[in-house]
Amino acid sequence: MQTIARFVGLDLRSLRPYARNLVIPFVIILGAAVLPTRSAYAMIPAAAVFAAIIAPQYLFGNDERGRLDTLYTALGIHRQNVVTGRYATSLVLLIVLTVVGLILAPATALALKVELDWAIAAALAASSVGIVGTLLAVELPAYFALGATRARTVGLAVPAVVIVAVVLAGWAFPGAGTTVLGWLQGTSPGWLALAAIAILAALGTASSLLAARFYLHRDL
Amino acid sequence: MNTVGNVVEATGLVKHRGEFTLGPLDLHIPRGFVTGMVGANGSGKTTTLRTLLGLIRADAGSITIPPAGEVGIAFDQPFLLPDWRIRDAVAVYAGFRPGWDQEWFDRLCRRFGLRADAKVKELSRGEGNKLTIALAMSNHPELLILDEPTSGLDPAARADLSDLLREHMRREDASLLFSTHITSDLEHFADYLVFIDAGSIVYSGRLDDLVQDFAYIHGSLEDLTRNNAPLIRGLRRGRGSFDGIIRTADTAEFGSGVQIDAPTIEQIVVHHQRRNNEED
Repeated sequence: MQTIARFVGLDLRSLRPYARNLVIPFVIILGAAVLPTRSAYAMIPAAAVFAAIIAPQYLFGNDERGRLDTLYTALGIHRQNVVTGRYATSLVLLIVLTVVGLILAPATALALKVELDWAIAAALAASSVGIVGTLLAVELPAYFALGATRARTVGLAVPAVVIVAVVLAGWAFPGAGTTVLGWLQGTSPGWLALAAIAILAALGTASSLLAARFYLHRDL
Repeated sequence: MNTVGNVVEATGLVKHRGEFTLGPLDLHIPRGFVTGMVGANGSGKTTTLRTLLGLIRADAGSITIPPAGEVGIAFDQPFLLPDWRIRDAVAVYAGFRPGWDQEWFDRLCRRFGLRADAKVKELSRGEGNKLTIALAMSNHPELLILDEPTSGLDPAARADLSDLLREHMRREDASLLFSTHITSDLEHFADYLVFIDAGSIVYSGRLDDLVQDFAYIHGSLEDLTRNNAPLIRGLRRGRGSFDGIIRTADTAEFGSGVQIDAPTIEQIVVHHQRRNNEED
């Protein structure tokens, strides 16, 4: 457990030099989500989706840029712990960014002069963690198997497919957004959070087992 | 020095990488000594080291090596994020390497002229090498594995690194395995030698024995016969003369007109490589 915590610290340290560069795309993504919809709620899933983008792209990109896979061996970090640690970092980023979205939502509502229902916001946060966590669970094994450069297509394709599916669903069913928000309003955030945790635990475990299998067999 | 056993043992090691095949290799690295690994570029030195370390999975064979915390690793390029500062690398190493000696690391940095706030990408190739070596040494590991540690270093820095490694080897249980294609690094420094060519071990044993096992031969072309010419490795024919490397045991096959000298390691490696090229 201590090794995993230290590995998460190492991962976060590898992101630190690029933190300033990440602020601008983060603001752009939030703006692109909020401005057209004029919905403060859009801040929450947008912030969560940003985690799905930076976790694999930056972390695995840094592995290649700095040949960090060799560093992990030099530091005596077993490959299984690298996999578990990377999943933990991704989860930390997902939760932290979703919380940032959740914190920014009321300020956005104030600026847009729209209402914000905390129950809906909390339910949306739980759902976002569940959905984006699922995306990461699909993407991460590919990154462990192929490395950042070769897995980039998968990393871009998976969120793109989800975004296109959501947009198409919006066109096909114009009232879907309102229906979803209504459903979220009527559902207990606690139950949604539990469901998100259950989904993440099941998918995360299966995904990390697959990733470990790939990574253990990869030549570094 | 503690001479009991081997610090690294590999048996039947095989690795296929595209058209290149490493092995099968049987490798024994004696504990308490300096072992140099030589060979031309692409001969399999780095693949061997990376396989021993588990960075590359062997297709066959078994490897015995000390636990990762007791092995210090440095390759010819730093494996650190270019945007990290040296102090970031130190924080990472100190967090993971058992027995991290910050005082010793600081001394090495002063000796190498490295500043803690310098970014990795701002270091020259030689400085990058020095940094990874300092990081590898700073928990006083039982075994140091260095891949081309002197590449990118000027002669003075190479001499300084040799001195530092000698100091490290004063520890009773310290062992050093390093690869190089600069054979002069080995002279007067390595105790044992592993000579790899085309993925196979040509020689593994004491450095002194290698020089005794082989001889540098040169003489007039008239001294070459159909019987003795095939015994010469890397036979180089000039206008009226030839030279090459032979097994010392084959000396009697040549007439008294030829001159036979103790070879340098470079002569052995170069002529062996040339023989392979001729065979191709």
